[in-house]
Amino acid sequence: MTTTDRWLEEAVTAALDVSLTPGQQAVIGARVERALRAAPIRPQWRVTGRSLLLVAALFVVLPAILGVGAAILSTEDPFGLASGAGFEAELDAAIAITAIPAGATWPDYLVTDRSASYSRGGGRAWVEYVAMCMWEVEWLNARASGDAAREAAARATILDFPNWWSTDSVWFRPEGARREYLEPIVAGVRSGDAGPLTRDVELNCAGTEAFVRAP
Amino acid sequence: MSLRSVMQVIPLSVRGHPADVDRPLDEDDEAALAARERPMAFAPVYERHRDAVWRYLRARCRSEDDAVELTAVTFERALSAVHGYSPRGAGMRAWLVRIARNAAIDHDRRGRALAASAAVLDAQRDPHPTPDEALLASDERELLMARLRALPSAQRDAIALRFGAGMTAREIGAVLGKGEEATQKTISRGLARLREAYRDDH
Repeated sequence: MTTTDRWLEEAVTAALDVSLTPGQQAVIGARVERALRAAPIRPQWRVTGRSLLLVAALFVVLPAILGVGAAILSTEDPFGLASGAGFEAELDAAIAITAIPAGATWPDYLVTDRSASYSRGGGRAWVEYVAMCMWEVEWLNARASGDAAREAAARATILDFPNWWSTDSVWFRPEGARREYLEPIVAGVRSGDAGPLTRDVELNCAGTEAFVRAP
Repeated sequence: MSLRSVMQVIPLSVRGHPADVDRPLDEDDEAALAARERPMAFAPVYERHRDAVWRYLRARCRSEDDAVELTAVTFERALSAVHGYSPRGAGMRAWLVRIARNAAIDHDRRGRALAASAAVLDAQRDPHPTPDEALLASDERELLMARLRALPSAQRDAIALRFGAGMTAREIGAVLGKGEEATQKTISRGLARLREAYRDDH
């Protein structure tokens, strides 16, 4: 039997052309309707402004507070420069292996300016940085709502932060500074003290809460 | 460290993908903007794109239950993130599918939606295929779906989005992070693999 391009395309289309059953439609529809009714009305803000807030928090506020030699994301390019498309591919690859809380969505400000050049290899550090913020916000939200299951999941993830790739990566300098910075946050979560984590969220995670499920 | 050097590392500008072009607002854009103030305005978007999202996810997931679950998750996530939707992007359908794809990746990672492995595929195969039967009989479609799910992820996604969700190469490129031409090549390579697999099956 021969398979022409047209035949194959028609066969694939037919195989994919399966409609939802009424029962499946009802299940999805009920979920979406519930979400529509529960959706909060959020203030509008400019995406660029939000990104700037994040970057300012990451590169200006945090180093200023921690002083010279504190953990900052390295801006050097030890592995050369990547194109915008290459950097975006790094982000996608990192996103594919980085966990975020259930119901959360990756922030749209991860998308790169493809006309710019980027330090090759920095994408994963950036993705993990944002993901950590999301888990921290998730932990706070879960505590606020009394959702023990969500809180436990977030707690377990935060306690694992020291084992994340970026904690000891070259993208945070000096060596070990990122680990040192995370220690009080992790210790606080372990003991139930929200103080250090709350401070980190306020300083470094502006805008993240919009992408994490509300309390 | 200068701010300029920082900007080389972290994307300050959100837009710039080849598929991101200025275009007139369409009804989805209007609905998304309205939903920031009035969430129910998003309901027509759900009605318009539910099937496209479902067909894409069905092609990714081994079980229809998983595809149903992820379809619901997609719209829940979309609603919670609608304030971040940009009318300058590749359009609502591409945006929704991108959310669906991320949800499916999360789901895969948790091991609840496994792509068909070669072993599973072999187990599903009829040891005595009969090529003269009606070409698109149910089992034939299932075999084709299994072969589709076994493709490399980019090829599988591109084909599912092209022939299941009816998306253009440009829209698909916005989802996969590829240019239009590269997306077309990905589709062609995927079809070539499917054709090869089909010949092996028969």
